[in-house]
Amino acid sequence: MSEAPRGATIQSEEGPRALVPLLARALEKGTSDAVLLPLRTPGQDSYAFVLVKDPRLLRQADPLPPVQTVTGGRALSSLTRHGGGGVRILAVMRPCEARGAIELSKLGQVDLKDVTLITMDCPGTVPLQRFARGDLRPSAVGFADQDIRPICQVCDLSCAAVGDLHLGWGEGLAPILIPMDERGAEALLAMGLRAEGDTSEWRTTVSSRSQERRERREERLGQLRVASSGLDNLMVRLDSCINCHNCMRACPICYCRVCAFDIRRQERSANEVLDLAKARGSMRLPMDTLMFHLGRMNHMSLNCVSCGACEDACPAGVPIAQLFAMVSDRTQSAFKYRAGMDRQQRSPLITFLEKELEGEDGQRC
Amino acid sequence: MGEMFQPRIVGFLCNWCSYAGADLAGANRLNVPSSITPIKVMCSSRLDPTLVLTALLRGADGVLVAGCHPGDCHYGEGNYYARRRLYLLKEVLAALGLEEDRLSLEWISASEGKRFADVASDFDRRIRELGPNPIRKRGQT
Repeated sequence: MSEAPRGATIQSEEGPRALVPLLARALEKGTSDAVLLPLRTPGQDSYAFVLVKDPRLLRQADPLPPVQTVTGGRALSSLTRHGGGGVRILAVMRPCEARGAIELSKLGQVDLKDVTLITMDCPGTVPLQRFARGDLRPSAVGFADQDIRPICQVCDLSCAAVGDLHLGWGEGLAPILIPMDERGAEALLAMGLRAEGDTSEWRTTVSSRSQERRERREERLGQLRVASSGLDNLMVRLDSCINCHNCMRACPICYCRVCAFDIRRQERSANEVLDLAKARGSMRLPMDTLMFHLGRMNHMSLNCVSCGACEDACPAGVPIAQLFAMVSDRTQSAFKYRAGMDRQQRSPLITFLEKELEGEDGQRC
Repeated sequence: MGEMFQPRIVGFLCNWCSYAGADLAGANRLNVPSSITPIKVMCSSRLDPTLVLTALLRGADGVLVAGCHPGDCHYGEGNYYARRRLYLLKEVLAALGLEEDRLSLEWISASEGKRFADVASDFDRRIRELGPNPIRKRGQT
Protein backbone atom coordinates (compact mmCIF):
# COMPACT_ATOMS: atom_id res chain seq x y z
CA MET A 1 0.00 0.00 0.00
CA SER A 2 1.46 3.30 -1.03
CA GLU A 3 -0.73 5.67 0.98
CA ALA A 4 -0.56 5.64 4.76
CA PRO A 5 -2.36 2.56 6.07
CA ARG A 6 -5.45 3.03 8.20
CA GLY A 7 -6.28 0.89 11.18
CA ALA A 8 -9.08 -0.22 13.48
CA THR A 9 -8.85 1.17 16.98
CA ILE A 10 -9.87 -1.28 19.67
CA GLN A 11 -11.50 -0.12 22.89
CA SER A 12 -9.45 -2.06 25.38
CA GLU A 13 -7.06 -1.56 28.26
CA GLU A 14 -5.41 -4.90 27.77
CA GLY A 15 -2.80 -4.17 25.11
CA PRO A 16 -2.00 -7.26 23.07
CA ARG A 17 -4.59 -9.34 24.92
CA ALA A 18 -7.21 -7.29 23.12
CA LEU A 19 -6.46 -9.57 20.18
CA VAL A 20 -7.84 -12.67 21.89
CA PRO A 21 -11.63 -12.08 21.57
CA LEU A 22 -11.08 -10.92 17.99
CA LEU A 23 -9.27 -14.13 17.11
CA ALA A 24 -12.08 -16.10 18.71
CA ARG A 25 -14.57 -14.21 16.58
CA ALA A 26 -12.65 -14.97 13.39
CA LEU A 27 -12.49 -18.63 14.37
CA GLU A 28 -16.21 -18.82 15.15
CA LYS A 29 -17.04 -17.16 11.87
CA GLY A 30 -15.19 -19.93 10.04
CA THR A 31 -13.02 -17.72 7.87
CA SER A 32 -9.98 -19.34 9.49
CA ASP A 33 -9.52 -22.96 10.48
CA ALA A 34 -7.15 -22.49 13.39
CA VAL A 35 -5.09 -19.99 15.34
CA LEU A 36 -1.42 -20.52 16.15
CA LEU A 37 -0.34 -18.49 19.16
CA PRO A 38 1.40 -18.71 22.53
CA LEU A 39 -0.64 -20.17 25.35
CA ARG A 40 0.15 -20.51 29.00
CA THR A 41 1.16 -24.10 29.65
CA PRO A 42 -1.18 -26.10 31.94
CA GLY A 43 1.25 -25.73 34.84
CA GLN A 44 0.91 -21.97 34.34
CA ASP A 45 4.65 -21.44 34.53
CA SER A 46 5.64 -21.27 30.91
CA TYR A 47 4.40 -20.58 27.42
CA ALA A 48 4.19 -22.61 24.24
CA PHE A 49 2.90 -22.14 20.73
CA VAL A 50 -0.35 -24.06 20.37
CA LEU A 51 -2.53 -24.60 17.33
CA VAL A 52 -6.00 -23.77 18.61
CA LYS A 53 -9.15 -24.97 16.93
CA ASP A 54 -11.61 -24.47 19.79
CA PRO A 55 -12.27 -20.74 20.41
CA ARG A 56 -12.90 -21.41 24.12
CA LEU A 57 -9.29 -22.49 24.61
CA LEU A 58 -8.16 -19.06 23.53
CA ARG A 59 -8.87 -17.87 27.05
CA GLN A 60 -5.45 -19.16 28.12
CA ALA A 61 -3.81 -17.36 25.24
CA ASP A 62 -1.13 -14.79 25.86
CA PRO A 63 -0.20 -13.25 22.51
CA LEU A 64 2.91 -11.61 23.94
CA PRO A 65 4.54 -13.71 26.67
CA PRO A 66 7.34 -12.22 28.77
CA VAL A 67 9.77 -14.90 27.56
CA GLN A 68 10.56 -16.39 24.22
CA THR A 69 10.35 -20.17 24.41
CA VAL A 70 10.15 -21.90 21.04
CA THR A 71 10.10 -19.23 18.34
CA GLY A 72 6.99 -18.76 16.20
CA GLY A 73 8.87 -19.43 12.97
CA ARG A 74 9.97 -22.79 14.28
CA ALA A 75 6.43 -23.64 15.38
CA LEU A 76 5.02 -22.66 12.01
CA SER A 77 7.72 -24.63 10.24
CA SER A 78 6.86 -27.81 12.15
CA LEU A 79 3.31 -27.36 10.94
CA THR A 80 3.77 -26.35 7.30
CA ARG A 81 7.20 -27.64 6.29
CA HIS A 82 5.62 -30.14 3.91
CA GLY A 83 2.96 -27.71 2.77
CA GLY A 84 0.10 -26.06 4.61
CA GLY A 85 -2.48 -28.46 3.14
CA GLY A 86 -4.93 -25.64 2.60
CA VAL A 87 -5.49 -25.13 6.33
CA ARG A 88 -6.17 -21.43 6.89
CA ILE A 89 -4.19 -20.32 9.90
CA LEU A 90 -3.99 -17.09 11.82
CA ALA A 91 -0.45 -17.08 13.22
CA VAL A 92 0.21 -14.63 16.02
CA MET A 93 3.83 -13.83 16.88
CA ARG A 94 6.42 -11.13 17.54
CA PRO A 95 7.97 -9.27 14.62
CA CYS A 96 11.30 -11.12 14.94
CA GLU A 97 9.52 -14.47 14.97
CA ALA A 98 7.44 -13.50 11.94
CA ARG A 99 10.61 -12.41 10.15
CA GLY A 100 12.04 -15.83 10.98
CA ALA A 101 8.94 -17.42 9.45
CA ILE A 102 9.36 -15.29 6.32
CA GLU A 103 13.02 -16.27 6.00
CA LEU A 104 12.05 -19.91 6.47
CA SER A 105 9.44 -19.60 3.75
CA LYS A 106 12.17 -18.39 1.40
CA LEU A 107 14.21 -21.43 2.39
CA GLY A 108 11.25 -23.73 1.65
CA GLN A 109 10.70 -24.60 5.32
CA VAL A 110 7.43 -22.72 5.87
CA ASP A 111 4.42 -22.51 3.62
CA LEU A 112 2.82 -19.09 4.02
CA LYS A 113 0.22 -19.65 1.31
CA ASP A 114 -2.73 -19.94 3.68
CA VAL A 115 -1.19 -18.26 6.70
CA THR A 116 -2.17 -14.83 7.90
CA LEU A 117 0.71 -13.50 9.98
CA ILE A 118 -0.35 -11.26 12.83
CA THR A 119 2.44 -9.28 14.48
CA MET A 120 2.47 -6.66 17.22
CA ASP A 121 4.67 -4.05 18.83
CA CYS A 122 7.04 -5.98 21.07
CA PRO A 123 8.58 -4.61 24.26
CA GLY A 124 11.12 -7.45 24.36
CA THR A 125 11.45 -10.51 26.54
CA VAL A 126 13.38 -11.36 29.69
CA PRO A 127 16.25 -13.88 29.57
CA LEU A 128 14.84 -17.40 29.46
CA GLN A 129 17.28 -18.72 32.07
CA ARG A 130 16.37 -16.08 34.62
CA PHE A 131 12.70 -16.72 34.00
CA ALA A 132 13.13 -20.47 34.34
CA ARG A 133 15.14 -20.09 37.56
CA GLY A 134 12.31 -18.05 38.95
CA ASP A 135 14.26 -14.94 39.95
CA LEU A 136 12.52 -12.92 37.26
CA ARG A 137 8.89 -13.82 36.69
CA PRO A 138 6.98 -10.99 35.15
CA SER A 139 3.49 -11.83 33.93
CA ALA A 140 3.94 -9.20 31.27
CA VAL A 141 6.74 -6.99 29.99
CA GLY A 142 6.27 -3.25 29.55
CA PHE A 143 7.99 -0.97 27.10
CA ALA A 144 10.09 0.68 29.77
CA ASP A 145 11.29 -2.60 31.22
CA GLN A 146 15.01 -2.68 32.06
CA ASP A 147 15.16 -6.45 32.51
CA ILE A 148 14.79 -7.38 28.87
CA ARG A 149 17.50 -9.37 27.10
CA PRO A 150 20.52 -7.49 25.76
CA ILE A 151 19.57 -8.45 22.22
CA CYS A 152 16.06 -7.01 22.73
CA GLN A 153 17.56 -3.81 24.07
CA VAL A 154 19.23 -3.22 20.72
CA CYS A 155 16.31 -4.40 18.56
CA ASP A 156 15.40 -1.68 16.08
CA LEU A 157 12.69 -3.78 14.47
CA SER A 158 10.65 -4.49 17.60
CA CYS A 159 7.65 -2.71 16.08
CA ALA A 160 8.22 -3.72 12.46
CA ALA A 161 4.88 -4.36 10.82
CA VAL A 162 6.00 -7.41 8.85
CA GLY A 163 2.77 -9.36 9.36
CA ASP A 164 -0.30 -9.19 7.17
CA LEU A 165 -1.98 -7.61 10.15
CA HIS A 166 -0.16 -5.62 12.82
CA LEU A 167 -1.27 -4.57 16.27
CA GLY A 168 0.15 -1.25 17.38
CA TRP A 169 -0.15 -0.58 21.08
CA GLY A 170 3.19 0.63 22.33
CA GLU A 171 3.71 3.16 25.06
CA GLY A 172 0.25 4.15 26.12
CA LEU A 173 -1.41 4.06 22.73
CA ALA A 174 -4.87 2.57 22.40
CA PRO A 175 -4.49 -0.75 20.54
CA ILE A 176 -4.88 -0.30 16.81
CA LEU A 177 -5.08 -3.15 14.29
CA ILE A 178 -3.52 -2.23 10.98
CA PRO A 179 -3.91 -4.35 7.85
CA MET A 180 -0.68 -4.25 5.84
CA ASP A 181 -2.00 -6.08 2.78
CA GLU A 182 -5.05 -7.68 1.22
CA ARG A 183 -4.89 -10.75 3.42
CA GLY A 184 -4.68 -8.67 6.56
CA ALA A 185 -7.70 -6.65 5.44
CA GLU A 186 -9.70 -9.85 5.02
CA ALA A 187 -8.72 -11.03 8.49
CA LEU A 188 -9.71 -7.69 9.94
CA LEU A 189 -13.09 -7.94 8.26
CA ALA A 190 -13.57 -11.43 9.70
CA MET A 191 -12.95 -9.96 13.13
CA GLY A 192 -15.82 -7.58 12.50
CA LEU A 193 -13.65 -4.48 12.34
CA ARG A 194 -13.09 -1.76 9.81
CA ALA A 195 -9.81 0.03 9.16
CA GLU A 196 -11.02 3.58 9.48
CA GLY A 197 -8.77 4.99 12.17
CA ASP A 198 -5.79 7.20 11.65
CA THR A 199 -2.42 5.51 12.27
CA SER A 200 -0.20 8.58 12.28
CA GLU A 201 0.20 8.63 16.06
CA TRP A 202 1.37 5.02 16.06
CA ARG A 203 3.71 5.64 13.13
CA THR A 204 5.38 8.61 14.81
CA THR A 205 5.81 6.70 18.06
CA VAL A 206 7.30 3.72 16.25
CA SER A 207 9.67 5.71 14.09
CA SER A 208 11.16 7.66 16.99
CA ARG A 209 11.40 4.47 19.02
CA SER A 210 13.13 2.62 16.17
CA GLN A 211 15.51 5.50 15.60
CA GLU A 212 16.47 5.47 19.27
CA ARG A 213 17.03 1.72 19.13
CA ARG A 214 19.06 1.96 15.94
CA GLU A 215 21.42 4.40 17.60
CA ARG A 216 21.72 2.18 20.66
CA ARG A 217 22.28 -0.84 18.44
CA GLU A 218 25.12 0.85 16.61
CA GLU A 219 26.68 2.02 19.84
CA ARG A 220 26.47 -1.28 21.74
CA LEU A 221 27.37 -3.54 18.85
CA GLY A 222 30.18 -1.14 18.01
CA GLN A 223 31.54 -1.58 21.52
CA LEU A 224 31.24 -5.33 21.16
CA ARG A 225 33.10 -5.16 17.85
CA VAL A 226 35.98 -3.34 19.45
CA ALA A 227 36.01 -5.74 22.39
CA SER A 228 35.92 -8.89 20.29
CA SER A 229 37.94 -7.93 17.25
CA GLY A 230 40.77 -10.23 16.25
CA LEU A 231 41.51 -13.84 17.02
CA ASP A 232 42.54 -13.36 20.64
CA ASN A 233 39.63 -11.16 21.65
CA LEU A 234 37.12 -13.26 19.77
CA MET A 235 38.29 -16.38 21.56
CA VAL A 236 37.79 -14.61 24.88
CA ARG A 237 34.10 -14.21 23.93
CA LEU A 238 33.79 -17.83 22.83
CA ASP A 239 35.95 -19.32 25.58
CA SER A 240 33.10 -20.60 27.69
CA CYS A 241 31.45 -22.45 24.79
CA ILE A 242 30.81 -26.06 25.84
CA ASN A 243 30.22 -27.38 22.31
CA CYS A 244 26.64 -28.39 23.05
CA HIS A 245 25.41 -26.78 19.81
CA ASN A 246 22.25 -25.64 21.57
CA CYS A 247 22.49 -22.29 19.78
CA MET A 248 22.18 -24.12 16.50
CA ARG A 249 19.30 -26.31 17.63
CA ALA A 250 17.28 -23.44 19.06
CA CYS A 251 17.91 -21.26 16.00
CA PRO A 252 14.76 -20.95 13.89
CA ILE A 253 16.83 -20.47 10.74
CA CYS A 254 19.14 -23.49 11.14
CA TYR A 255 16.87 -26.06 9.61
CA CYS A 256 19.31 -28.63 8.16
CA ARG A 257 18.51 -32.09 9.43
CA VAL A 258 22.18 -32.96 9.46
CA CYS A 259 24.55 -30.12 10.26
CA ALA A 260 28.00 -30.04 8.68
CA PHE A 261 29.42 -29.35 12.12
CA ASP A 262 27.83 -32.41 13.69
CA ILE A 263 29.40 -34.79 11.22
CA ARG A 264 32.18 -36.81 12.74
CA ARG A 265 34.11 -37.14 9.53
CA GLN A 266 36.10 -34.06 10.44
CA GLU A 267 37.53 -35.68 13.51
CA ARG A 268 41.22 -36.41 13.36
CA SER A 269 43.22 -39.39 14.49
CA ALA A 270 45.06 -39.17 17.79
CA ASN A 271 48.39 -38.89 15.98
CA GLU A 272 47.22 -36.01 13.82
CA VAL A 273 45.94 -34.12 16.85
CA LEU A 274 49.18 -34.83 18.67
CA ASP A 275 51.09 -33.37 15.72
CA LEU A 276 48.92 -30.27 15.81
CA ALA A 277 49.42 -29.94 19.55
CA LYS A 278 53.16 -30.26 19.01
CA ALA A 279 53.19 -27.54 16.39
CA ARG A 280 51.00 -25.18 18.38
CA GLY A 281 52.08 -26.01 21.90
CA SER A 282 48.61 -27.20 22.91
CA MET A 283 45.28 -28.19 21.47
CA ARG A 284 41.84 -27.56 22.88
CA LEU A 285 39.60 -30.62 22.67
CA PRO A 286 37.17 -31.22 21.15
CA MET A 287 38.63 -29.16 18.33
CA ASP A 288 36.94 -26.57 16.17
CA THR A 289 34.98 -24.37 18.55
CA LEU A 290 35.82 -21.36 16.41
CA MET A 291 35.13 -23.34 13.26
CA PHE A 292 31.62 -24.09 14.46
CA HIS A 293 30.73 -20.49 15.20
CA LEU A 294 32.39 -19.04 12.11
CA GLY A 295 30.80 -21.71 9.96
CA ARG A 296 27.38 -20.94 11.36
CA MET A 297 27.86 -17.23 10.86
CA ASN A 298 28.81 -17.93 7.30
CA HIS A 299 25.84 -20.23 6.77
CA MET A 300 23.08 -18.14 8.23
CA SER A 301 24.11 -14.63 9.19
CA LEU A 302 22.35 -13.43 6.02
CA ASN A 303 19.10 -14.88 7.31
CA CYS A 304 19.59 -14.05 11.00
CA VAL A 305 16.65 -12.08 12.43
CA SER A 306 18.29 -11.38 15.83
CA CYS A 307 15.54 -13.21 17.72
CA GLY A 308 18.06 -14.19 20.38
CA ALA A 309 16.94 -17.81 20.68
CA CYS A 310 20.61 -18.87 20.50
CA GLU A 311 21.63 -16.71 23.45
CA ASP A 312 18.64 -17.88 25.49
CA ALA A 313 19.65 -21.46 24.78
CA CYS A 314 23.31 -21.03 25.69
CA PRO A 315 24.01 -22.59 29.09
CA ALA A 316 27.45 -21.00 29.26
CA GLY A 317 26.58 -17.35 28.80
CA VAL A 318 28.24 -16.73 25.44
CA PRO A 319 26.80 -13.47 24.00
CA ILE A 320 26.19 -15.34 20.79
CA ALA A 321 23.08 -13.47 19.62
CA GLN A 322 24.94 -10.18 19.97
CA LEU A 323 27.93 -11.52 18.06
CA PHE A 324 25.57 -12.74 15.38
CA ALA A 325 23.81 -9.37 15.28
CA MET A 326 27.16 -7.66 14.89
CA VAL A 327 28.18 -9.91 12.00
CA SER A 328 24.79 -10.08 10.31
CA ASP A 329 24.30 -6.32 10.36
CA ARG A 330 27.43 -6.11 8.28
CA THR A 331 26.80 -9.04 5.94
CA GLN A 332 23.16 -8.19 5.34
CA SER A 333 23.90 -4.59 4.52
CA ALA A 334 26.70 -5.74 2.20
CA PHE A 335 24.01 -7.45 0.13
CA LYS A 336 21.40 -4.72 0.78
CA TYR A 337 19.27 -7.28 2.52
CA ARG A 338 17.46 -7.23 5.83
CA ALA A 339 16.27 -10.67 6.84
CA GLY A 340 12.51 -11.12 6.92
CA MET A 341 11.64 -7.57 5.88
CA ASP A 342 10.77 -8.05 2.22
CA ARG A 343 8.93 -11.19 1.18
CA GLN A 344 9.65 -10.58 -2.51
CA GLN A 345 13.41 -10.05 -2.23
CA ARG A 346 15.31 -13.24 -2.91
CA SER A 347 17.84 -14.61 -0.46
CA PRO A 348 21.25 -13.17 -1.49
CA LEU A 349 23.06 -16.44 -2.09
CA ILE A 350 20.60 -17.87 -4.59
CA THR A 351 20.80 -14.93 -6.93
CA PHE A 352 23.42 -12.62 -8.44
CA LEU A 353 23.98 -9.64 -10.66
CA GLU A 354 26.34 -9.89 -13.56
CA LYS A 355 28.26 -6.81 -12.51
CA GLU A 356 28.69 -6.44 -8.78
CA LEU A 357 31.08 -6.64 -5.83
CA GLU A 358 34.04 -5.61 -7.96
CA GLY A 359 36.02 -2.88 -6.25
CA GLU A 360 37.62 -0.01 -8.16
CA ASP A 361 41.05 -1.39 -7.45
CA GLY A 362 40.19 -4.52 -9.40
CA GLN A 363 39.95 -6.62 -6.24
CA ARG A 364 37.53 -9.42 -7.05
CA CYS A 365 35.94 -10.01 -3.73
CA MET B 1 62.82 -18.66 14.81
CA GLY B 2 65.59 -17.46 12.61
CA GLU B 3 64.46 -19.31 9.53
CA MET B 4 62.64 -17.44 6.78
CA PHE B 5 58.86 -17.55 6.79
CA GLN B 6 57.65 -19.96 4.13
CA PRO B 7 53.96 -19.38 3.54
CA ARG B 8 51.58 -22.24 2.88
CA ILE B 9 48.89 -21.25 0.45
CA VAL B 10 45.99 -23.43 -0.63
CA GLY B 11 44.89 -22.79 -4.21
CA PHE B 12 41.44 -23.97 -5.17
CA LEU B 13 41.52 -23.96 -8.95
CA CYS B 14 38.65 -24.50 -11.34
CA ASN B 15 39.16 -27.54 -13.54
CA TRP B 16 38.01 -25.77 -16.71
CA CYS B 17 40.13 -22.67 -16.56
CA SER B 18 42.51 -21.79 -13.74
CA TYR B 19 43.84 -25.31 -13.31
CA ALA B 20 44.65 -25.45 -17.01
CA GLY B 21 46.07 -21.92 -16.68
CA ALA B 22 48.37 -23.15 -13.93
CA ASP B 23 49.36 -26.05 -16.13
CA LEU B 24 50.17 -23.68 -18.95
CA ALA B 25 52.31 -21.57 -16.64
CA GLY B 26 54.29 -24.71 -15.85
CA ALA B 27 54.55 -25.76 -19.50
CA ASN B 28 55.87 -22.31 -20.34
CA ARG B 29 58.41 -22.59 -17.52
CA LEU B 30 57.10 -19.48 -15.82
CA ASN B 31 58.06 -18.84 -12.24
CA VAL B 32 55.25 -19.86 -9.90
CA PRO B 33 55.85 -19.67 -6.14
CA SER B 34 56.18 -23.09 -4.60
CA SER B 35 54.13 -21.98 -1.61
CA ILE B 36 50.90 -22.72 -3.48
CA THR B 37 49.35 -26.14 -3.15
CA PRO B 38 46.84 -26.48 -5.97
CA ILE B 39 43.62 -28.36 -5.42
CA LYS B 40 41.46 -28.98 -8.44
CA VAL B 41 37.74 -28.33 -8.08
CA MET B 42 35.19 -28.78 -10.83
CA CYS B 43 33.91 -25.23 -10.45
CA SER B 44 34.69 -22.30 -8.16
CA SER B 45 31.11 -22.61 -6.93
CA ARG B 46 31.76 -26.24 -6.00
CA LEU B 47 33.88 -24.85 -3.25
CA ASP B 48 31.91 -24.80 -0.01
CA PRO B 49 33.18 -21.73 1.89
CA THR B 50 33.41 -24.06 4.88
CA LEU B 51 36.38 -25.67 3.15
CA VAL B 52 38.08 -22.30 2.87
CA LEU B 53 37.42 -21.73 6.55
CA THR B 54 38.78 -25.14 7.40
CA ALA B 55 41.98 -24.41 5.52
CA LEU B 56 42.43 -21.06 7.26
CA LEU B 57 41.62 -22.40 10.71
CA ARG B 58 43.90 -25.37 10.25
CA GLY B 59 46.79 -23.05 9.64
CA ALA B 60 46.96 -22.18 5.94
CA ASP B 61 48.52 -18.74 5.56
CA GLY B 62 46.39 -17.92 2.54
CA VAL B 63 43.67 -19.32 0.33
CA LEU B 64 43.53 -18.45 -3.34
CA VAL B 65 40.37 -19.34 -5.21
CA ALA B 66 40.51 -19.02 -8.98
CA GLY B 67 37.69 -19.51 -11.45
CA CYS B 68 36.59 -18.60 -14.93
CA HIS B 69 36.06 -14.99 -15.93
CA PRO B 70 32.48 -13.74 -15.50
CA GLY B 71 30.44 -14.96 -18.45
CA ASP B 72 32.86 -17.80 -19.18
CA CYS B 73 31.79 -20.32 -16.54
CA HIS B 74 31.72 -23.84 -17.94
CA TYR B 75 28.41 -24.34 -16.16
CA GLY B 76 26.99 -20.97 -17.10
CA GLU B 77 26.89 -19.04 -13.86
CA GLY B 78 28.76 -20.92 -11.16
CA ASN B 79 31.42 -18.25 -10.74
CA TYR B 80 28.78 -15.60 -10.00
CA TYR B 81 27.53 -17.64 -7.06
CA ALA B 82 31.09 -18.29 -5.93
CA ARG B 83 31.76 -14.57 -5.99
CA ARG B 84 28.82 -13.91 -3.65
CA ARG B 85 29.71 -16.76 -1.30
CA LEU B 86 33.32 -15.77 -0.90
CA TYR B 87 32.39 -12.12 -0.57
CA LEU B 88 30.11 -13.17 2.27
CA LEU B 89 32.89 -15.14 3.93
CA LYS B 90 35.19 -12.14 3.66
CA GLU B 91 32.56 -9.92 5.24
CA VAL B 92 32.11 -12.39 8.12
CA LEU B 93 35.87 -12.47 8.71
CA ALA B 94 36.13 -8.69 8.44
CA ALA B 95 33.25 -8.16 10.89
CA LEU B 96 35.18 -10.15 13.47
CA GLY B 97 38.51 -8.49 12.81
CA LEU B 98 40.02 -11.65 11.37
CA GLU B 99 42.38 -11.19 8.47
CA GLU B 100 40.14 -11.35 5.41
CA ASP B 101 43.11 -10.52 3.19
CA ARG B 102 44.26 -14.10 3.57
CA LEU B 103 41.48 -15.00 1.15
CA SER B 104 41.48 -13.99 -2.47
CA LEU B 105 39.29 -14.74 -5.47
CA GLU B 106 40.67 -14.29 -8.96
CA TRP B 107 39.53 -14.97 -12.51
CA ILE B 108 42.08 -16.84 -14.62
CA SER B 109 41.26 -18.48 -17.95
CA ALA B 110 42.88 -21.60 -19.40
CA SER B 111 44.99 -19.53 -21.79
CA GLU B 112 46.30 -17.16 -19.14
CA GLY B 113 49.37 -19.01 -17.95
CA LYS B 114 51.21 -15.75 -17.52
CA ARG B 115 48.34 -14.28 -15.54
CA PHE B 116 48.30 -17.31 -13.24
CA ALA B 117 52.01 -16.87 -12.55
CA ASP B 118 51.49 -13.16 -11.86
CA VAL B 119 48.47 -13.65 -9.61
CA ALA B 120 50.19 -16.43 -7.68
CA SER B 121 53.39 -14.42 -7.19
CA ASP B 122 51.45 -11.35 -6.18
CA PHE B 123 49.35 -13.27 -3.65
CA ASP B 124 52.46 -15.00 -2.32
CA ARG B 125 54.07 -11.60 -1.81
CA ARG B 126 51.01 -10.22 -0.02
CA ILE B 127 50.89 -13.24 2.30
CA ARG B 128 54.60 -12.85 3.07
CA GLU B 129 53.89 -9.26 4.06
CA LEU B 130 51.03 -10.40 6.31
CA GLY B 131 53.26 -12.98 7.96
CA PRO B 132 52.28 -16.37 9.35
CA ASN B 133 48.65 -17.12 10.15
CA PRO B 134 48.38 -16.33 13.89
CA ILE B 135 46.21 -19.40 14.38
CA ARG B 136 49.30 -21.53 13.85
CA LYS B 137 50.47 -20.48 17.28
CA ARG B 138 47.15 -21.01 19.01
CA GLY B 139 46.07 -24.30 20.51
CA GLN B 140 42.80 -22.92 21.82
CA THR B 141 40.43 -22.40 18.97
